[in-house]
Amino acid sequence: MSFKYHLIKERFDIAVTSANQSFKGEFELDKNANYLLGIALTSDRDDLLFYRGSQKMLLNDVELFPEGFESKLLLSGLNVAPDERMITLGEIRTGNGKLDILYKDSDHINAVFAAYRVTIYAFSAVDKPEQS
Amino acid sequence: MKKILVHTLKVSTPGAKVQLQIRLPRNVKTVTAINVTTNGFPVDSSSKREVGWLWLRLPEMRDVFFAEVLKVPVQEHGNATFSNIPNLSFGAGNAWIDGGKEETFSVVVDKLSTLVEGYYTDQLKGDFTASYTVNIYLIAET
Repeated sequence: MSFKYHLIKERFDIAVTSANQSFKGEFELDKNANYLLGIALTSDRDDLLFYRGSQKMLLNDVELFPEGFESKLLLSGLNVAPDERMITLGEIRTGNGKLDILYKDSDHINAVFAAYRVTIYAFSAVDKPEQS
Repeated sequence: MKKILVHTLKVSTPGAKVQLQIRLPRNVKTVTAINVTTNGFPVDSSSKREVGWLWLRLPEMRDVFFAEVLKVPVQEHGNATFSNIPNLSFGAGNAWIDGGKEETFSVVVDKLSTLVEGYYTDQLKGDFTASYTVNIYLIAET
């Protein structure tokens, strides 16, 4: 992977304001971003994201994660080294990238609903990363 | 290109035996990884009770390529303690603090038909919860 300063890091937020609802976010990636390398998911209430969340994610209408894909599979704890927390996607060409996210909140016995925020970080590169 | 397929199974009958079919898109060439999760249990840090048994097989071959014993999720992600050894983790075993990256089970299953068959047997028999879901993730190359 290229050095960190060659990466374009973007943050997108979705506010989850009611239980058992779906929330849609449409985000435009940076115009200079040509390759989407990976994403990371966090929240201000990690427990709610872990237990209650699932999402569908599309890049330029190409499915990255299907409906029903649990958010807990995209989370990494603090015990994972910061450099390794990103979920890699390969090197997907973005063009004028549009990231569509359909986040779904569902009841869970371990997590009582309170309004929370879902944050998606996108890591992109301008040039194709050199193979190491 | 990688494609992820999710098949969700809702189990609400104690001791249920469920036959399932997962349809693969026509452009799928190989299934390369599998992950199975369960959802809907209260956190239970002491029990490693079996939730159910899952088999996946190819209908053409009648050949099982994946079998797993699913267990109640245990909330001690990387936080196992041993006597006389101090705990080095940050937290108390919460997944969002101590949890690692989810790992998938690698397989190479060449597509012979557009169908994967499965068989699931509930082993909880009504304990813990009235109903729960089993999510089967197939990661495929197209």
